[in-house]
Amino acid sequence: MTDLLFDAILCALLVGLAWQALTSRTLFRAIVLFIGFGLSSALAWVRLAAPDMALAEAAIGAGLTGALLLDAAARFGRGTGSRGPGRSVPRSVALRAPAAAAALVIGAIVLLAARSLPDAPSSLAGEVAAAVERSGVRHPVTAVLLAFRAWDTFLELAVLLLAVLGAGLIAGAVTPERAAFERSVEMPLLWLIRLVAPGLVLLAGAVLLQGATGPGGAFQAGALLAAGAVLLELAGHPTVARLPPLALSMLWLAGVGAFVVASVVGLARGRLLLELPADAAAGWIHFLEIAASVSIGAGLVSLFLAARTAGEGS
Amino acid sequence: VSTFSLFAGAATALIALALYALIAHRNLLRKIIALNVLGSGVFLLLGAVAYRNGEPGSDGMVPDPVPHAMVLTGIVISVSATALALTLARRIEARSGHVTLSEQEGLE
Repeated sequence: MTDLLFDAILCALLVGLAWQALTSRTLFRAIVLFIGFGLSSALAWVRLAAPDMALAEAAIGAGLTGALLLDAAARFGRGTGSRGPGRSVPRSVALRAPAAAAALVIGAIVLLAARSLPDAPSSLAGEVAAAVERSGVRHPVTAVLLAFRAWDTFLELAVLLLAVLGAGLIAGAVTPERAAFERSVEMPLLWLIRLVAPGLVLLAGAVLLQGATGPGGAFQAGALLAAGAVLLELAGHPTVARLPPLALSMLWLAGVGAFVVASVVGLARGRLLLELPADAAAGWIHFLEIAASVSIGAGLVSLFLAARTAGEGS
Repeated sequence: VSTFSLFAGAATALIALALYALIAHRNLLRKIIALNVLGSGVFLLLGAVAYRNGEPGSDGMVPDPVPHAMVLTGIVISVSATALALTLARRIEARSGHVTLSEQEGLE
């Protein structure tokens, strides 16, 4: 009973925060509320027995997306003198009624679909639990991501690569001159970063290895790496921006490349596409996960830098 | 009332609210926030269904891991799309001086 009460309060909080984030008068307020919304959804994931999603949502959904939006809001309107970032742009009144109608219809359809699910739960939880022993890892979500549905992860890394390349093309060169690290930040922040940045790298490694047996893995580790790099970049210390283009491209391509290697080796040995050998599956999964986390980390921080520098000097 | 129905209801509300904001707002940054809330709503719905379809395990209910893997993939895709959209929005602003998609204002 108390569980349901907690769920009800949490759901009300989520919807309330989302509404405030969507309608706040100032953009800054909207973004701060959106970050609050992201953190509250991490709590919702814990309630839904999904600690993997709670980690990813807190690190990526709230953390990285929040940093992206806050940085954009601070930069929008600068130099053009058109509209200050703090002022809200009025919603177009003519669109309100059709927008509300469309939202109501779609909402009703989604609610009907959720209510008309068959009474007997039909899921793949049983199949995954039965096959997880043979996958090379013990955590079911990691098994689905890297063994049973490795194809999805492969394509996800390809989408990330495309986004990085697209954003890089739009933004132009992502190597602005930066002030020397030591001089650009205040001492307490410098101490904090010196403490936190190496810690985040260690934590990313631990989370990556943890993924074999419990919640964690390449996605969360990549997010932690990206968070550490964004922290350094915000303090004026270049991370990926100072790398030679070839080295940076290698980091971007590592994830997709590892999956291509796994596919080609498998096909050459007469296995199915992305079918991992039963006796060496754990090793292959570690190889894919390390490469994926490097690409996710480097890709996300490159996207952050591209969104930062786009429009400057043009 | 169950945990599933509560979270499925909240997810539906998020989807509808975000859809409204996505259409009604003209500011591109606000549209991007709305897209992110819309994504969160869809993820939450998937999570609620995974919870409902769980199997009893050694320590409580074990939810369906397949939707969880899909959501994990979706979260990374959604931040990639957000960053790409913000880059485009910055570019639009640099070219037109406005953070909207209005034709009258944009083409000067």
